[in-house]
Amino acid sequence: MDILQSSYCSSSESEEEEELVEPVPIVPQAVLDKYSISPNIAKYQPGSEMNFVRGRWNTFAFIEMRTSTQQRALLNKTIACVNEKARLLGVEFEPLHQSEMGSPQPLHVSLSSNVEFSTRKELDLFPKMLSIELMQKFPLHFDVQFEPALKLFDNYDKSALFLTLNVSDSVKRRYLSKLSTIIQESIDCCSLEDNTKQRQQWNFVNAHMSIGKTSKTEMTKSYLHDIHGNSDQAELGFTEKFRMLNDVIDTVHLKNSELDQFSFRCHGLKVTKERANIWVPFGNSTTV
Amino acid sequence: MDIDRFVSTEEDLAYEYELQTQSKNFLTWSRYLEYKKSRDDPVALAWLYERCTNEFPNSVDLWLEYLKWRTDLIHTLNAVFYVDEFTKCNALFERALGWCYDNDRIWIMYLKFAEQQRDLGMIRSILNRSLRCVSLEKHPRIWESIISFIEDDLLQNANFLEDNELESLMHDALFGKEEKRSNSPDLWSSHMLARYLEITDSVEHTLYLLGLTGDEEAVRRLYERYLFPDTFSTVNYKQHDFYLRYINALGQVGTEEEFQEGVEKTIIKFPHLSSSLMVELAKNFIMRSKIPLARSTLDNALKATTKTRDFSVIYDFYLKFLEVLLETIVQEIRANPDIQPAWEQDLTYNFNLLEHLTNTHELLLNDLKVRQDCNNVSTWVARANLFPSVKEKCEVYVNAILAIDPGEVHEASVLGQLWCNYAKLFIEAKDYESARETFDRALRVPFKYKEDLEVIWLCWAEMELEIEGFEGATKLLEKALKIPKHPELLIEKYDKGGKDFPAQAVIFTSLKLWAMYLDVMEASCESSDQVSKTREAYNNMIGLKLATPLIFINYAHFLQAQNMWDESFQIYERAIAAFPPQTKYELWNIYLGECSEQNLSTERLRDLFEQALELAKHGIDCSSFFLLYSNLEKSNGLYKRSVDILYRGCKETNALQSKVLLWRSCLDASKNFLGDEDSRPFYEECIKTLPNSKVIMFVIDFAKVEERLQAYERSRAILKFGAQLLHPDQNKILWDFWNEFEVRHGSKSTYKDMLKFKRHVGDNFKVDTEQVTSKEGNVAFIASSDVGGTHSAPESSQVTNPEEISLDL
Repeated sequence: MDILQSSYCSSSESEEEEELVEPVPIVPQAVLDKYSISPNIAKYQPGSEMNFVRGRWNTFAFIEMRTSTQQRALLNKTIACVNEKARLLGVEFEPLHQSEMGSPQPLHVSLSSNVEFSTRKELDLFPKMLSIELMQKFPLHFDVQFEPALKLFDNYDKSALFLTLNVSDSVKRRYLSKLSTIIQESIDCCSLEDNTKQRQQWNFVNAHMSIGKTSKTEMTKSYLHDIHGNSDQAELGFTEKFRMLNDVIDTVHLKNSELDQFSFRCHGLKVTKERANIWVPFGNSTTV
Repeated sequence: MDIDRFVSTEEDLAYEYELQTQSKNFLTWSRYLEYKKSRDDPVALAWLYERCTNEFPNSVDLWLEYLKWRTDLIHTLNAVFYVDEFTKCNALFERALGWCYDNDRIWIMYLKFAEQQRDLGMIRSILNRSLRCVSLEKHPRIWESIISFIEDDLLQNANFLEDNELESLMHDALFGKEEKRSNSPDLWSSHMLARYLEITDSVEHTLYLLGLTGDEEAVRRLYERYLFPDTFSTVNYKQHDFYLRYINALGQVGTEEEFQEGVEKTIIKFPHLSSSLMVELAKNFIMRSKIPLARSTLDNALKATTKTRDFSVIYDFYLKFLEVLLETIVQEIRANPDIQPAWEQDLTYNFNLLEHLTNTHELLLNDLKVRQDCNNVSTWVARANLFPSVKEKCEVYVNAILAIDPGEVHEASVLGQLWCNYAKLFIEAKDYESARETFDRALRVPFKYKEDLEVIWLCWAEMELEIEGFEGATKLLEKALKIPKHPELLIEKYDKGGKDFPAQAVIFTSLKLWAMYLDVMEASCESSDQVSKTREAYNNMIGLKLATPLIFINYAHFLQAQNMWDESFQIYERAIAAFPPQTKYELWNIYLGECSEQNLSTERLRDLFEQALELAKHGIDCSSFFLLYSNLEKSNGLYKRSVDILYRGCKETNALQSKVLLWRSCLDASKNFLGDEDSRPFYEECIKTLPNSKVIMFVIDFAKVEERLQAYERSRAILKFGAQLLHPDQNKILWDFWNEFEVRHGSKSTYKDMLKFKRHVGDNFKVDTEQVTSKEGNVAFIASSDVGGTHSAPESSQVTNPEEISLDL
């Protein structure tokens, strides 16, 4: 009886102790934004690809989604479900909502392609201009929603494939098109250069949120290998495999209840500036 | 007039007769005056002075003399009680000035006399008249008199900045003005000084005096005129004191806007005065009954100041302000209890504020330090420690992270540690995802120092080890220690490029991370795959030139634990090739010890020993290797070789202790394995090479060997040789042995010879010592003629020493 009593007491004490643990506020967005990108070490490596251009100042605009534990669990489940089928085609997606070291990572919906400014002053001006434009022309907030089907995207040199959630058409038409126009106007206003080419590279119609990534698969490797020989054939082969993979992925559907979990209210967008992100709120909103 | 009263003596008559004939003879008048002065009859003297001045009305000296005598008479009298006397004197001055109107000396004397009467109107009138009558170059002399009067008078009464100023200000602000206490301005002086300023070169001192008058309007007007052209400078006073005085005056007679503008202008000119000016500003708000504004001014100033001195000035005043405020209210409530409800809220609020201000002093100081240098990480850490709750600590760490510029942190590992402290809050709350998120962001900070990243990786790895076990920690550390394509180049650039080069580029060179990785790997090493990964890690460390001797030894032991003995020995050899001789010795020591325990071929072992013994050529003491090597040969039955190795050791070893040890081993081995006869050359060599202090035991031993061989004469010769090496007193063992030897084997004559030789050696040692010390170039002590103590030598025995020096002890 004594043993039982002592063990009972200790368990209740430990429960009390657990209850006493003070909750810690999550890492503020400002901290995440200040150190968004790691220092570029690759540029110090001889022979490695030049991943920066001297005298060019890059940025791009996006809507960020900071995932919750539940959302991450759902994303894990979805990616696992896709991988189960895609593995048959030699493809396996790595989740983008967490790093390879297990740290949660925010996801994003791009709102522009990579924008290059020729001076730092232009880059500094861009978020300020964007802020003014948004304040004048955009509502305080809107809800970002996604379509139930997953979609596959490739990058510009087809070295990587992305598993994505498509933004719903209504959101694209009502908000993203407008945001795209505002962003473009701000860029035009800040930059002295012609941005037509850059404007053509991104279209709000393709707005999506990448949730998984795969690189160095057999599919991308063979394309990169063949492209230097018979480029037409390489292109054809890749397109065919891409279509097959997309068909496979297309069979995975998210339930409405699951989709609702990914829906979030957007109060502003972010632009990158050097290694940091700059928060640009809509209207007078300051909520992060 | 009663002439008899004034002309009463023979001398008076004589002078009068003389004056009858020579009335214009000033000498006679002077002598007569001197005579009258000696008579101590002021009325008679005045009568004579009057007659004399009538006779010589233009004589300035006579007037001066007369006026001086006249004013001296009433010098100690009160001008109010004896107004008639003073009036008479004034009339006399007027009469004198009627004749000598342009004489400055009389005017100055008249001014001083008027000052004595404290009649300001009269002084001003005299001054004005004198300035009109006297030539311009003499004006400064007249002004001097006025200024010195003002100075003496004002300095005695200047008290407009009293200690209880704040109390009275507060009382007036809260409960209306009371009757003013004695601080009325000295308008007369300020008027005079304002006039004087127009002509004087001594602006600095005059402004100073003006400031003391308390005439705030004049101070404000004239200070503004003289201070704000930037040419104003001071010699005898602090320049900023004038500005502070100006601000003070402005506060009293200017508008609120003018005052604030004046404060701002002065702060720009004297940034170091900002705290005093803020205090003045607050006082001004109190004076205008704007208590909340005064409070917020002090509060803001306290939060904005960046200098410790300013902080303490403002903080102290803020405390005093609140104390006085509370005290004033409490006193008023005591005097008038009906007003208590109306003041209750104010009382509570200000009391809480005072309490808060007192309790948060340390925090406010920390605020100041943060403002002074927001990149000082230790200030932030100290700040976090000031808060008990996790939420507040979190807030501090977040603010620190947002405020600190990693490029401006000048101490290694502190910023990384701050991030770890932040992450640990999540770990303690078991919010591992947030902890990972924090670590992940921390690793993106462009740290200047590798140590910062090191602590973050280690802290994260420890967390993963706790939660995920070996696998999690290994995965993490592998990521950290991933070697780039051109590691040497990055290391070189980091070393050259200094702190502009991000530490992320060289984190793979962190010895601590490698050590932890190896610890984790070895602790979880179960499969062959893990063994090869561990080996790869060790090899990478060696390849990156990070491996210390201990790492090599650990690697070798790790391989031995896997029964990979040959590979383990190869690691020792790689290590030996990589380090300097002293480290090599330590490595050989372990390596040879471990080799000797293994069944290696004799040839290989000999080869290893020979390699190890190369170190002796670099001055390293390899005695232990010689002993081990010798033992190896002995165990193989090669006794002669065993002895030869020891003999070689004796020759190649420099360290005396080791040398003695090796000789001992060599001679013992030689006696045991080769016999007494074959040991003779070793003994001879040993005795020759070892220093005298170490050789005696070997001599005795050698003598014993010869005794055993019944070569007594040889034995005796050896003992004779040994006996000469040390003084008999220090060589007791040998002499005892010799004594016993002679008892055993000698005769009476040999015993006598021994004793004779002992005496001879004793004497010789004394002589030898003297000879050695007297050799040219050696330091020799020379006896002093002053013999201390009571045992002084007889005079006859004292020899004069020409090289003697006296020591002043």
